Amino acid sequence: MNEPVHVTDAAFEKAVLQSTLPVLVDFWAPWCGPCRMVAPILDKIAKDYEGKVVVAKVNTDENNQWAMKYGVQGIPTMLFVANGKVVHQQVGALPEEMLRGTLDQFLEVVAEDKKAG
Amino acid sequence: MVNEGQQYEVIIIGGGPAGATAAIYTARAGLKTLVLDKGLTAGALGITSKIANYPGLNAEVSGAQLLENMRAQARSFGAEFITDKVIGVNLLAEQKSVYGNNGTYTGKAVIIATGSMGRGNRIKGEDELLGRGVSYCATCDAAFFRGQDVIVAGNSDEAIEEALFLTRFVNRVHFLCPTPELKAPQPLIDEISANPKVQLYKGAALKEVIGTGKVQAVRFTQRGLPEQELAVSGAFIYLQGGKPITDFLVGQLKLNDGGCLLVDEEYQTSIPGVFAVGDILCNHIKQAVVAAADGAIAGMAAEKTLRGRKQMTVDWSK
Repeated sequence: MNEPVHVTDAAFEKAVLQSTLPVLVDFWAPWCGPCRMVAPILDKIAKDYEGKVVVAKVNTDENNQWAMKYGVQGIPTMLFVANGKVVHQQVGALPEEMLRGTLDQFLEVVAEDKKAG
Repeated sequence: MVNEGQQYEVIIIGGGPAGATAAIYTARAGLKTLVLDKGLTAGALGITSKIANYPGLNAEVSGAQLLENMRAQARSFGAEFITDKVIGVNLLAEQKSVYGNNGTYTGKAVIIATGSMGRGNRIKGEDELLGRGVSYCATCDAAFFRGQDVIVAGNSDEAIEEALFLTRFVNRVHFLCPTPELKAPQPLIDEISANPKVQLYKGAALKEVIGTGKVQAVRFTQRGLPEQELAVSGAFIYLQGGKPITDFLVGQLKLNDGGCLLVDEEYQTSIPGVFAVGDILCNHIKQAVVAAADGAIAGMAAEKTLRGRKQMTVDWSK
């Protein structure tokens, strides 16, 4: 997938929690400025990390079930999910370099867990 | 979406005396100019009640009136003003992007004139509960607080507008105004005072945001009253202070050891085509006339940069 996948509440379990690849989930809404700031960065990440990470986007305007379940009260909120578990949570927009740094760290943790497991 | 995709030659962030004056110069030089600003009374000049030492003004005027005059002058030369709060920038590309709460704007040159009314210290509990009830963006997050009680802390037009937006979703807004009076244009004050969903607390200092995992209450003091606690699920914070507002730049421009933006004699920063003027600069005399002068210099320098000239052109004729 070289672009972000748009995920509905109904598809969340399969697309995110049961994904074999680690997932970066972005809870967003069209009227949120900081979300628009993150969007082009996530597009690039989806392309650059193809085969390593799935970038999933959940529009909280239309799909709020999982956002509520994770206690999301501010957007953008990004969850870093591996094997159905939230490894890290980022609230608010980040510059591209920092977001890539966080993502790399997340992938390292996931890889180590895999080795240990 | 407001102005999505519109391209400008010069984007000025901040519409105080520095930004508005820069706009007068760039717009008059024929450059397509946009000024993004949080509101007329969001900055130091806008909230000053009387100005008596601005050269050429014999009668005392309010800071807001002086600013309005500067803006009208800039508009008369074609500058466009949009009320929006800038939350981020990408200054590294040739086409520079400026991200606001209401839109994304692109330009070839950027003049930063956001002043020095930024916050210093955070409130206890604020960082821990960010995104768990603490928010700086009602437009983003109001929908998560439908039917609930929230506080808004602040006294500016920005805080009032955010509070009014929240009333469309929440049950009640407790408005904690740190000063004895709100510092905003009268129509806005009238609107918030008349709104049945808003309770105004004047002279109220927010002390702590309380909660485990999510916001449950806030603690505040109010003149002459014992400390109070309010049970709320959201805390929207728009407090001001005395620090240069640089947070939206997130490390893209060079700073000196004291954390101040580095600029050259024409107020150009470490990135060509990006300028910083006015109170945002450290060791700067905080006077409207000085900020205006900075704006004029940067406005002319931006024009020189964009048109590829080596020297500034001064128009002596008019």
